[in-house]
Amino acid sequence: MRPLQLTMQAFGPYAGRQQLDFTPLAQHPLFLVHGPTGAGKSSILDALCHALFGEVSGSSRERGAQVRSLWARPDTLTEVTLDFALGDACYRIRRRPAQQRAKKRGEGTTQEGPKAWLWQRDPSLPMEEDGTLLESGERRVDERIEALLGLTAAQFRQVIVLPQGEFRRLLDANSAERQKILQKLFDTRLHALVEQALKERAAAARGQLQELRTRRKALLDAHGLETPAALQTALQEIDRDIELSSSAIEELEKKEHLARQQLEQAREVARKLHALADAERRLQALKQQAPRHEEMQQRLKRAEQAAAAQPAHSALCERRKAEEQARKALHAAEQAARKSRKRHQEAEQHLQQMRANAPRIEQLQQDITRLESLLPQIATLDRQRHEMQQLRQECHLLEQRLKQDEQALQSARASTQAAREHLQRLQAALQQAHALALSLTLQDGAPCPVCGATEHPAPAHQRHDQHDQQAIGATARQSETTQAPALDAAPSPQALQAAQQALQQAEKREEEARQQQERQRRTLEQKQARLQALTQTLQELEAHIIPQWREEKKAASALEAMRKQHATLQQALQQAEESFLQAQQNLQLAQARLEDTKSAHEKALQQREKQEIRFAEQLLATGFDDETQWLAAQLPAEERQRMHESISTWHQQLAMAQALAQQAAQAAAGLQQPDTEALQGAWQEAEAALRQAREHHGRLLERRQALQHAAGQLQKLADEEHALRERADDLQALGALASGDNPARITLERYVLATLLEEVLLAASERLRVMSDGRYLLQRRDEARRGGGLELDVFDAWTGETRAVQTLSGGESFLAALSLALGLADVVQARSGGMRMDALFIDEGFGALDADALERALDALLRLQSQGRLIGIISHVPELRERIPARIEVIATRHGSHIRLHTG
Amino acid sequence: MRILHTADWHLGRIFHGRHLTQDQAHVLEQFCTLARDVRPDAIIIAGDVFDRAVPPPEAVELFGETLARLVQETTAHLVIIGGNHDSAVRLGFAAPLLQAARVHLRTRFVADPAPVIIDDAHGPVHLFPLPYADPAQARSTCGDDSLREHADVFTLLLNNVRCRLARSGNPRSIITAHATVLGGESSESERPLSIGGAEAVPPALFHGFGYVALGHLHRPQWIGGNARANAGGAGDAGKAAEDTTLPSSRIRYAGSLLKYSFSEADHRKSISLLELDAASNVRLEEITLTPLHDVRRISGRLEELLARAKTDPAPDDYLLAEITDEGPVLDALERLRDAWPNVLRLERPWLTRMVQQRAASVDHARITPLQMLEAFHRDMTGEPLSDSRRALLQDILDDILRSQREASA
Repeated sequence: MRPLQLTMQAFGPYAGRQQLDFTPLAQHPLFLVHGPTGAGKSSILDALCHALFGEVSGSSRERGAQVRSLWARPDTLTEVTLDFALGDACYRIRRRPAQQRAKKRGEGTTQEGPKAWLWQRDPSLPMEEDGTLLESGERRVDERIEALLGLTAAQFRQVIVLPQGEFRRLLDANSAERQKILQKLFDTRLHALVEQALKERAAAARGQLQELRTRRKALLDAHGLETPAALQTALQEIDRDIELSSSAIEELEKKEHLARQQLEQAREVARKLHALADAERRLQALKQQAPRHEEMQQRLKRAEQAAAAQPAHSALCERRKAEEQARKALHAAEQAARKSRKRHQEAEQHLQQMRANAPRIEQLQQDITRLESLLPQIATLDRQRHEMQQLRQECHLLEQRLKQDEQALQSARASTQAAREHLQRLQAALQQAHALALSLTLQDGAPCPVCGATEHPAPAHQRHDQHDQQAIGATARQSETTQAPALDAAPSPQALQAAQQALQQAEKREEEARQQQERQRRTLEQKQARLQALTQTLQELEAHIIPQWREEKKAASALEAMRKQHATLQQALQQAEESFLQAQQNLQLAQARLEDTKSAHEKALQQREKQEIRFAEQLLATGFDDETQWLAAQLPAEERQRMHESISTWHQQLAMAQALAQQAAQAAAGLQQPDTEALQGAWQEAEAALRQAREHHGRLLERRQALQHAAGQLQKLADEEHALRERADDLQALGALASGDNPARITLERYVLATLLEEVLLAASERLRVMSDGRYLLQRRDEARRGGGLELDVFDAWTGETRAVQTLSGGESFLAALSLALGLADVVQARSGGMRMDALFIDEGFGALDADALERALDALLRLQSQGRLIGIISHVPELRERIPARIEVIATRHGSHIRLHTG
Repeated sequence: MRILHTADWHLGRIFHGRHLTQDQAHVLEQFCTLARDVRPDAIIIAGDVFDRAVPPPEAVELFGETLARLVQETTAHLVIIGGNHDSAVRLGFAAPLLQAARVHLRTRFVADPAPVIIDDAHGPVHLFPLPYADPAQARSTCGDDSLREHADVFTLLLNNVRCRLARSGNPRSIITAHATVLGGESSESERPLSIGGAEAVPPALFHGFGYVALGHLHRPQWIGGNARANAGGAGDAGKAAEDTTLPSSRIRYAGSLLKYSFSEADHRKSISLLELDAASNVRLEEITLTPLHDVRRISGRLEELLARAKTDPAPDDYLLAEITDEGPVLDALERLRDAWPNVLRLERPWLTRMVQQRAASVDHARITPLQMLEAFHRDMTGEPLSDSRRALLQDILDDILRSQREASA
């Protein structure tokens, strides 16, 4: 276990938060924690122990009660966090003891229970991150720590932290305590297990022995014996019994044989008599069958007679059949002929009908031809008609246009007129103006410039009154096309000009309109003429053609229809002629066949009649009256055969039975019926006796075999027992040895621990020797006492005596304890599978040393190779401050303590 | 210029339980007389005046008296530097005041030290005192993190010294320092200057000065140069001064005042008296002083030693007694002290050998469980394991191992 970083908050004298980083100290073999008394040096170790175990380093301080800093603010929780490494794994543990804390809401404090957490962390994680949570909760964390470290708090305080005043613990511990620690530090479970295994196996072996004994007893019991000796006697007895039994059996066998013979003989006699009875019975039975067979014989004779006429009869049947067939054929042929005739008639009729259509066909043909020739004309017709239609439409259109042109012309004329009027008016106006102008110049008596008169009765004067103005305006509006300008008093020459122009334009337009109209009219007339012409042509053409054909489409379809019809009719006619021919042929054939069948029938009939006669003759010859009788008498050949056989068999059997009866009578001559029953009984008795005897013998044999088998088993058991006993003895002895039943009164485990302790003490002694200037060595007390063997003694080279470790002075025992701790760490380090002790803390104790001893102790410590081990010393001895470069200084102030780290 | 060079007084030292103050006083008495007679221009004490940072009062008193006598009875400049045993601050108490009395106490580290200039007939001699400082101290004083080893510190110091000398026109120069210089032989009583051993300083750094007066190693010796001159050969504590002229090296350890460990039993402790001429040539004379008790080793069987005491000229000497008896010896020390009252250390080679043998024979990491069981059996019954028993035990062990493997799998 190597501490990496310790963080204390509100713990002991540390009011605030103190962080102590051990990693820079790791390069030095030794570091010093110094400071004034009560500043908080031991509190650092307390914090270490508290973090791990929830206890503090000195047992004199109660668990948890007063670790909270008295200077701490109520909102600062007491908390200790330790990062430490175990081998390659890094962990962080944090504890908060039970404490009062300020309520989050409201006044006062509330009690908060103890808390603990354990994380596993990667050393590369930043300090703020805790890592993966392994356990939380006081009890679980405690358990896990114990499992991880392998030490309880008390043991920790003996080997890793040597607290103030208690460094002698390990030195002074008794064997039992020391054993516990060593067991924890070195894994000696194996030997404990060996002890246990020996015990178990010894017990098992004893059990097995017991079992063997039981089996032997069971074996003997099964045979009703007490001892193996009895077995032997039993065997002997058995042998004797078997002898006796064998001879008994021989006797009985003889008896049985005799009885059997007698029985056999009796049985023989009985059998013969029985056979005779049987044979006679059988003969009787057969004789009874005689009449039946007689009858059969008769029947057979008759049937044989009938058989003679068989061929004739069969021939007759044939003829009858043939005749029948011929008749049928004739009937059929007649029917066929009739049918054929009918069909012939039908065909003829049909043909007639078709022939009637011939002229029509002709007609159709002609029409077709004609229509075909007319087809081009019809086409023309169609075209013309179409053209006519078009022309009509155009004329209509033209007429309409003509109307429009008329209107246009009218309007043009009107406008011309208007323009003229306008012009005239303008001219008049102008004239008037001139007149007016002139009139103004008129003077009475002066000649008028115009006419020369000297009197001026009515000179022109302004007459541009409203009415004229309006008229002018209206005119202007009317003949907009002429664009007559608004008139003033005297129309301007421009206006006049304009009016003239307008007039000209209007006239031009009028002309145009007229021309247009002319043109239209001309066109119309043309078209109408054409139309006329066409109509005429049409009429002429149509005169040639019948109405249905006047149109191309209709004509075409008519043509099509006619063609089809023609074809149909033609075809029908042809078909009718063909079928008629066919029908004729059929009729001829049918008639021919009829003739044939008739003659055939005749012949068949004749033949039949002939055969009938022949057969009748046969019947009479063989004594039958008619066919029916004959038929009744007839029997098939197999039947006859069977009857024949049956009869002969019966005869045979009868003969045999007679012979047999004779034989049996001979054999049983003079024989008496024996008493087989009695003889049977006798024989059975004999047999039973024999059997019993045999069984008995068999049992005896079995028993002998069993006994022999048992003897074999016993031997095997004895051998097993022997081997087992040896093993059990060994196990017993070893087990006893291992559990302390030996001259040294030491168990195996204790022995192993003692040897381990020896090793530790060697390492420790080496150090102690140096530190005590060659004077002291640590030794193990070798005592033959159960529960002992791990006590420590110190050998004083100056006196050559060994004495108890407790006799060392304060300073000397400090050196011894230090050596022991270092030696222990050395050995644990060197062994594989042991706990790793990478840290050692020594709280005070150096003050008990004089300068020389202090020098030596320090030298020894300083010469230690660091080997990754962290050794911390807490001391107030000022000398140490000078000598040890790596220091943790604890500074006490009024408000609590804080830490400063110095690394050389 | 005549100089007395001494070092490593270690006043207040406890030698195997004995306070040596009386012995030291005895020798220092002779030293003062010597100084009075020789009339040196300078007396250099090259460090480790006291044995501890806080020395016992007798030691302080002794030093005070000695200093007083030296000041009163000579006209020499006393140049005293602190060593690794001294507390720089305590030793340098009232240094400025003592300056006026020709006592130059230089204990604190200064990166660019000023010399003590002593004039003789041929001119000034610049004497640079370089008190001991560990690299950490030098680092924090200079604020220079590159000073990791003693060699670095001396490089810096001596560079500055050379600059000063150059500025002053390169007068004759003497350095006094407290260090481990490569090539020097150490003994048991020197405290290591740094843990992990990188304390040695190459002698090349000290070349170019008239004389380098070193302290720290307790054997009087030159560094480099004439081997013969290094002979502090074993022999009686004679009073004859040896005249060794013109050694080829200028770096010298004065050696400790007394023998401070049994490894120094063969040293010949002396005070170094040297003459520096105008041309910076050095001539040395070693002057031995007579201690109250010599430090010796005696070896032999107990009875032998007891007998020898009767005829020994100095049975009071501080002794390391090596008892060569084999087998246990009772009350060895008691009996020895009857004859030799100042046996300070007892060695039993036989015992050591025994212990080492036991250590060698036990090699637990490599003992198999079966061998352990075998040992147990043999120890308990006196017989080795029979084959059947061994087979049984092997079987049990295999079983246990297998179930352990299964459990952990």
